[in-house]
Amino acid sequence: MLGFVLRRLLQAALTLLTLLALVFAVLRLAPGGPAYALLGPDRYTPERAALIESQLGLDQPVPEQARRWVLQFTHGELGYSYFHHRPALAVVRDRLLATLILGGLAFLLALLVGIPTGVWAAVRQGQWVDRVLSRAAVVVLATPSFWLGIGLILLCSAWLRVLPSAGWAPIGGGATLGERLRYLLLPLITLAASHAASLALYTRTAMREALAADHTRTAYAVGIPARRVIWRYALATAALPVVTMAGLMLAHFLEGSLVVETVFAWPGIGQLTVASITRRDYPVLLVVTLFVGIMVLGANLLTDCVGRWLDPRVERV
Amino acid sequence: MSCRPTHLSGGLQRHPHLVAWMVACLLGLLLLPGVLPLAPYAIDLNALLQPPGLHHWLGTDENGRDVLARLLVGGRGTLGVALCATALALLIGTTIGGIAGYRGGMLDALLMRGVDLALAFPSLFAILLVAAILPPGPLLLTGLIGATGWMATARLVRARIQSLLETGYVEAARALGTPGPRIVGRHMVPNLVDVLFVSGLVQLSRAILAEATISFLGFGIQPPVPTWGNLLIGAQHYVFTAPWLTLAPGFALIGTLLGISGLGLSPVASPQGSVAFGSSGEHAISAVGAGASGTNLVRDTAPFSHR
Repeated sequence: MLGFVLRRLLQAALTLLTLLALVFAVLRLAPGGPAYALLGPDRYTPERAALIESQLGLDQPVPEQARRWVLQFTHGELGYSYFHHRPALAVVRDRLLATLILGGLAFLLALLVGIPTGVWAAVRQGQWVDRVLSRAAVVVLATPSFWLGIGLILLCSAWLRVLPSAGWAPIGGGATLGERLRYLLLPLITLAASHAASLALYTRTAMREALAADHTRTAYAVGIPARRVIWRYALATAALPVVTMAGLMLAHFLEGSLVVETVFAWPGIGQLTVASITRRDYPVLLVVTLFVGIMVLGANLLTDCVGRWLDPRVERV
Repeated sequence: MSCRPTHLSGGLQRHPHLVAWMVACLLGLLLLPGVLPLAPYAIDLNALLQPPGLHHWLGTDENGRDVLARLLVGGRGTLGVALCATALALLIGTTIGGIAGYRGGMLDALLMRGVDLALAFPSLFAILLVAAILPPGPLLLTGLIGATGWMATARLVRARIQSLLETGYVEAARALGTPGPRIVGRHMVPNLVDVLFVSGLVQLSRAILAEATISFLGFGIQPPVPTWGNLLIGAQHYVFTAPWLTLAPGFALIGTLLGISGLGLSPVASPQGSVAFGSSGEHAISAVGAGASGTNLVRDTAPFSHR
């Protein structure tokens, strides 16, 4: 197991380096730059743009820029944001908590709703519960998450007037838990819904196979209570594909946050990324890429380890 | 597991109304803007944010433009980009999956590592990075959505080709000395039809969601040219005063995606999967859902390949 983890860590580090090199190349070789965005249309002149680019070191040849960047990187410096005039790492770090809170809770919600729903539908195979749940899941899956967010704002904020449409209660701002939850609820549902639905359909398929398996039938036959057979024996078999699926999802909550944070003005990484792309804030984008890469690779590694722990038969790397 | 293309028609035959309806909608979207006197760009400052009524069936937007006209023309944009992107993704996926499956060995291992790498990075993020750097437009958008969506098709095609290599008739053809290209063209490609059909539907859903999401975020097709995605830009601010701006494109998107998922992937109508490869149809629909955040199509095959 330890050898396996070490090997995967090494692979992950190599992948991360490749990723960073790719993003660096794409960003630097692209036409256009931050000068125009920094100056704005009124103050833009080619001379001022050239001055800014030389100040930022962007007039150097690309290999020289890459060398400087690697040198900084090894000293733990990830560059200064062009717009916030602060270290890019600090800019990202400030936004991290909001995204992690939203993403983490949404992931939990998706697990807590999706897996039991899938099990329930599989147990009631072919009955109306199964049909209703499956159809509901399919409808949720056909709804773009940004539209789900807007639809929820329409329903809960505009028509029912029970929940705020955007924003959040800042950390340490003296807001009560209830107030925080009011801001959190709609983004949370929006981010979790599609993942919960696909997890439910997935669990349903896996559970159906598990419930039809010989060992499950035997467990029923020897008189083990149905509840125990379902949750202990059948779910144990179905767990591996479901966990793998959930692990793959984990990384994609970041993608969801790009959209959800834009809709709900949630001050996290997603909103920062969209803004930084518009403003060509290269250092911030590089730090975000690094962060996304670490999250994705970490989630994959975690998934593999949990999978191995659940099912020791999975031997191959 | 039998894999005759004939199974394919089962899914289509089961929902004849749905098929007719989808075809009618598609034709309507493609042809109506040419026939009807629609004016999606006509600004009427006397009719800003009008609710649905006799003059404007679906109301007007913040510039006084007719929402119905913009919706119809926008559908053409969204579906056009999505269809082209799907074709591109299928082409890339089939080529790479086919080569990997047929050749095997080192080349196979190399190509599949490439697939893993491409799957590892959230594709919406990748698309946004590039879309923001290069000048936005329909061609770039189509290329990006297609280029980030081929991985699942490659895996499915590779698996199918590998299983076909084991069949008696391919073995017999090889023993008779039939040249490779002829084996592929005569015996393998016809057996890929069902895989490509399901892959194509999944891709189409994903591509529609991706176009809508990227255009909504402002990096896709730029206004004033309408698409179902960019019609919703800023809609969250208008829900209080003009909910019809939100509802019309939203229902168009959801209706289209539901229709597509009902066409070939309906897990409800046919528990065993109306499509030839067993329960993969259901895995595929999970993949459609993955796209709700825009793009990822990781899930259809990945969960059972313990990498």
